[in-house]
Amino acid sequence: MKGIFKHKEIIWILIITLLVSIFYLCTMFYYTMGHLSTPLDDTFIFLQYTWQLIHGHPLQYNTGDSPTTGATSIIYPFFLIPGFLLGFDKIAILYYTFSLGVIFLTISGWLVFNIGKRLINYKIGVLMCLLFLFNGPIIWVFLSGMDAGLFTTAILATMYSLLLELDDNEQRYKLTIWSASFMTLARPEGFFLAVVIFCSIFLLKRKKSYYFLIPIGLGIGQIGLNYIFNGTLSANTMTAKSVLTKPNVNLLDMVATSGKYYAYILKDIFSGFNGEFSVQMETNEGRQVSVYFAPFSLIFFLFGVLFLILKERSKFGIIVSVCFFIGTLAVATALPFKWHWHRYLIPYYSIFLIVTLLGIYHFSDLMSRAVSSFNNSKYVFYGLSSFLLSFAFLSTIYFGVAYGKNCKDIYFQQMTLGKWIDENLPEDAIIAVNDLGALKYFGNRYVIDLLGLGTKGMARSWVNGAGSVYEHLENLDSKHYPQYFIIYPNWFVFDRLGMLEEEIAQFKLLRPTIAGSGAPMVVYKIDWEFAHSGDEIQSTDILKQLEWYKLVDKVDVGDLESELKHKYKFWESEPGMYYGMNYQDQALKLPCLEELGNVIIDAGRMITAGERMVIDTTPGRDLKIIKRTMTFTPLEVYINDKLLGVWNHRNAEDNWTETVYTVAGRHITSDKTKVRFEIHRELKHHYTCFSAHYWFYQKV
Amino acid sequence: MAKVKKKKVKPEFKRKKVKLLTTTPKYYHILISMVIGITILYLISTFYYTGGHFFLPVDDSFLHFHYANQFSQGHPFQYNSGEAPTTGASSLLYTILLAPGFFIGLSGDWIIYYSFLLGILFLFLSSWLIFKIGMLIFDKSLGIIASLLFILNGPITWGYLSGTEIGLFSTIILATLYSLLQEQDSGYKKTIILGALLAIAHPAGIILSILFVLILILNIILKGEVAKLKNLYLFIPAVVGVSYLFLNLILTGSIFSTLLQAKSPLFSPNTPLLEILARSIKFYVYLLKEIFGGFNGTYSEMIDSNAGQSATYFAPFSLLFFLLGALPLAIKEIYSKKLGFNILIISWFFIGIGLASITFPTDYSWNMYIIPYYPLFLIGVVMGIYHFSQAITNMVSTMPLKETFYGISAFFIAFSVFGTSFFVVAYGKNCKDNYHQKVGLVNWVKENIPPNITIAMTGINTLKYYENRNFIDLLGVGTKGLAKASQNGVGSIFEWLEDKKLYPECFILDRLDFTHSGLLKEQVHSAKVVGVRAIEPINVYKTNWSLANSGDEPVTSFNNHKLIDKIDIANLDSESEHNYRFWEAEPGLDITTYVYEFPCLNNPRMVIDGGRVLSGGESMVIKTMPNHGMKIVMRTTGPLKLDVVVNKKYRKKWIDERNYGNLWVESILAIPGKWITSTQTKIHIEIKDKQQDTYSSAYYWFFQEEVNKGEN
Repeated sequence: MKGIFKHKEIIWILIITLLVSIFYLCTMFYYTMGHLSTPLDDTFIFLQYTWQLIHGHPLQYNTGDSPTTGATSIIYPFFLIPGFLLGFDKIAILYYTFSLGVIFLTISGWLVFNIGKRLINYKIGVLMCLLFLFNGPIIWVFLSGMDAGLFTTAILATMYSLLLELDDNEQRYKLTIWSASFMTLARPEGFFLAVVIFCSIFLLKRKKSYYFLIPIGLGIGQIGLNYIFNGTLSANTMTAKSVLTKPNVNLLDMVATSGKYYAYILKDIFSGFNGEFSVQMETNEGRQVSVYFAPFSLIFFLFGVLFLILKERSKFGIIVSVCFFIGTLAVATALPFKWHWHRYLIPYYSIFLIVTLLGIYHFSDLMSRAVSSFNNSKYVFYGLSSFLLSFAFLSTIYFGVAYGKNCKDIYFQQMTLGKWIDENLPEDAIIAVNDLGALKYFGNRYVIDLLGLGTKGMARSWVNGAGSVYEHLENLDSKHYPQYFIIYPNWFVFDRLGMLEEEIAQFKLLRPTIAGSGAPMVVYKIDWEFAHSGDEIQSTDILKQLEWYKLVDKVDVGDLESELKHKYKFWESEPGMYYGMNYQDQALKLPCLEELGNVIIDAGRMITAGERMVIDTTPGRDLKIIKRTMTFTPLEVYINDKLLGVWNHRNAEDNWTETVYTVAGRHITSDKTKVRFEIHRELKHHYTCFSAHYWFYQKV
Repeated sequence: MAKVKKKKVKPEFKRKKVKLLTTTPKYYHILISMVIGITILYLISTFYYTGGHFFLPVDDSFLHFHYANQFSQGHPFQYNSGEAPTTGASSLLYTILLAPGFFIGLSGDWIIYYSFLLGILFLFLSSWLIFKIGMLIFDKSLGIIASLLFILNGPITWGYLSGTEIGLFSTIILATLYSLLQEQDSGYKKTIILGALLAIAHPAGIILSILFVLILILNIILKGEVAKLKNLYLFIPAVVGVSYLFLNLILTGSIFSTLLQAKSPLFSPNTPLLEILARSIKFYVYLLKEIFGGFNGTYSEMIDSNAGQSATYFAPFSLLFFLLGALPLAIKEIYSKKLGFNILIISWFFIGIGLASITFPTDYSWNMYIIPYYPLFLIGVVMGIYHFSQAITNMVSTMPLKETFYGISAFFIAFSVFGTSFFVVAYGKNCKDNYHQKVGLVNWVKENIPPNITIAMTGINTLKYYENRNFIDLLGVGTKGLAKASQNGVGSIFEWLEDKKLYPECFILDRLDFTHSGLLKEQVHSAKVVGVRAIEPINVYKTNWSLANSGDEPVTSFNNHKLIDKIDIANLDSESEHNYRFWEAEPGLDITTYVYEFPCLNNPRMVIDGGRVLSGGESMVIKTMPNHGMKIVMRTTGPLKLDVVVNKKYRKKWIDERNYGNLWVESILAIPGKWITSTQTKIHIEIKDKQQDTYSSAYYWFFQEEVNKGEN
């Protein structure tokens, strides 16, 4: 311990970190009226997974559930374990997470200082460290109780190790390998950075070592875990939140979206030109001004990159620059959102600040050589640095207030609601939620996460839309139907389905700043009376026609399991339409046109171009295809890729209608038949059609 | 940091000793011609858009005209002759400068011409000063470019010709800087006088002048010439600034002007420091990056001075050049212990816009509150261009310095030309809006409202200036005592008027919502203006005060009880007498007061009362009789779910679920006599479910048993 404090900089770094942390703690207490809280509900997801871990249920969000990977960082829960073991209760653990943030901030500050000192000199190290410690978003995210502090520390440790070991040809990069392994485990993105680092070392230094494979192997191991637990390569959080996991995602749209976001973050965040002025604070609205970096920071960052690569330490410069580029690009590709002060980007701010200050240093040197009145580079350097530093102070204060207000949101909505659940809902209640953190952590009830972070299989339904969410819930064992929904009603369509039987309570915020909706979070009792009401054909006329036919297969559109079983695919008239919300799948409660007394709920997809599926058939027998829809757009029918004709039927006018198309037996040639429907070629781009259910009958 | 190795630096332009006007007559004429030329463009635009009328783009100018008129007629600082003084005119010096216009008989429309001429004069003086400053700090070329950028800057010319104090304040800032440059080694006497004028030219000038004195003192100390501090004249600007604050205090009871008290969010009730800081920082950053960074706004085809839309303030990257210009030299001054011109530019600029961000963080009227700092900024920008050009020419040997400097400057000048053309049009359109709405209203009032009618209006200065009858300014800029009420909202304004028994027969409103108050008997006129953007009409209402004071008595009564105290919520005097405090569920929510006309529950009589919407709670200290049981009656509009704490010790729930919508409900809470321990009792009422509910309180009555029954 004494050894550490020999480095006197540790003391002042610790003092600064404590001072800013105390300020943030005060704003939290000020806005929450004396209560402990966090600015993000997601913190409680980590705490819940940790709680489960120490109680012997690793990766289970609800005890007994299948494992899920809703905690993005695989090792962060292990850092939280000591808190519980030390005896902190479910609320007091927030002191522990806060302290953990303070520790990571101190270590990161010290690493930044050392990087600056090693790159240029002691004073530069001090300035870099100050810029880092006073950057508002960085403090905000470190003290949020999330894994970002850990990840940033791991990135900086890797960078510092690299700086120490890169120049030494005898080095075996032990420190770097250890740090990079740690970084890979800290967040999935760390894997990409590790790959970049070791590919770069291999290419630039012609150095190869099998030890390089440790961090890469750890990253691949995590992907393997995801596959084993979720059946996908990505963690649940990624599946639920990323644009990459949306149905029918295509490369061009992905490139365009991430390109647009990347340009936005460069020009708005890193250039220091973010947003427009508005009086109210709103965390999720990128239009408003917030104090990320001083104007023109990006110019100096680019200068820094240039000088680092061309003049100083080219290999380190290249690796750092590529890491920054790849890291931010990964965020832009996977999570191009403005939520939560762009928190996914914040771990890369440290690299940005280091290189920006280097840029100012070299720019000042250049200017002082060229301009007669600046006869010493320190005039320009300290001038520009003081501008950046004054901006950083403003940013500390601004984000201090933001931290307090965000904590207030979470305390008065999610945390209060979690405690309300514990006190008011039956112990065996099953609750479906859209914010699963504090509601589960404090509520102590079985929860189904409608977004799918903590509930296996739900994430894919969530990204498909309201229809798939409904089908997923409907397919649960009826004993496991959630009796309560605790949701922002405007995120779903359950009100239109008449399922929200009774509003029991609502938890609103007078002026939300980070809550996912301006609307209150409402507790509903749920009516499942209409569950499975749409499973069978309703039209008696059609049933009469099927007298000598038997059901050979059926496809419940919107039900992902049914779709998967039938290799169901749909496509859009304009690729990438799923980025918008208009053509997502839907659940509807409508009367049946042929039997107006029958009101049923069914979900399906709004088809803009076509759909196809593979069904079980008996060769040579006539096939009757029955479709449930609420539109009347003519469809071209293809059987085994051969156009048979156009399927016309009458207009349902906002009712369900069921309609039949008959295929002659000669077209059914095997026990598997490919069926394809396309919007009539003259109507494509002008009309859509809704598909809810298909039944396939063949002659007995 | 080590000194860098010096490369051979190319020689700068040859510096010339700067003397008086006579040394540069050519530029003198050029500047005059440009000022006149640009002014003519603004005049043409005004006549074009107003249909041949001469007017000004902002209503604020007429407040100065009015106070100057009063000054000239022997009623200084009086909004209505004979009334208590107010400090609604933000610049004392500008009011004094306008007064001669009235002395020589330039009343009515003529004062607009007079103020316009003053604007032209200041425009010329400022451009000339900038030219001279440029010459002093580098050379003629820098002076030329700086003065060109100044004259061609759209917002600057808009501000100077707006009839407000912007031109005066900017000119004095520049004159102080120029004087400082000239007097660096000779005692600063002229500079001191100008610094003193700065303090009375604008409220922000007080801070700038104090800052100036501090820099002078620091400089003297750094030089080790402490003996010079005995020269008391060095302190004159600060003394004048502080005296100005005292003048405000003597006149109005506050060191802050009534304008600031009425309009600045600093004076909003319950605005905590953190909220002020966050909002100011956000606005400060917005100003730096959007206005000075040169990346302002989003594109819109409409011209709207209040919407933060894309406008041509400064060329992109201007801030960067500003930083390269003055900032390193300011640091150099600190290192060489010779604080002077550069440190003053930097500190005045950053602190000046900081002050504007704290006091008026709003992007109204082309951000006019920060226009006086634009000339400072432009000087720094030109210095930056110069330094940058030097750097380029030293790096690229084929590029000559002068041509490079002019080349880069050309980009900035071209942008300024766009700025001028944009603001010429904006000026005309703003004049048009102001003319057609305000003058139309003035004429209507003149013709339709008899002079003996009392009118209350929301600070429509043009109306006050032209129709100088007794007005009540509901915003409180002109009417003493109303500023605080107006910051609290319509409920407090109503209570103030009711309390003072001022029952204006007519309301003229362009803001403030009295819709449900029952006071607005009939709308008799609406002054609208058709424009590309929606402009709120100014509506004229006949008022109905028949129910004034109808809310003073409760419907509820109790046998054997006597009324011991009462608090009229939203009435600031009544609140203050009872140490009343209120707080919000979240600091900074800005939920304000209301005034409603409703019937009472179980009683058909209509009552008008003002009150507060509360999301947190309220506390008060009331007179009591110890040990006598008490009943608290609250007039409210809806359900209550409250915790009541008596004397910080005894706690009781106050639940009343009656919710009748548009009815006054009187809810009663009984307090045991043993809780009342002295003649002063503290009542603390707090909402139970924070963030979930709000409640409204309009009146409290406190009844106590006439006979002490002991336990209750």
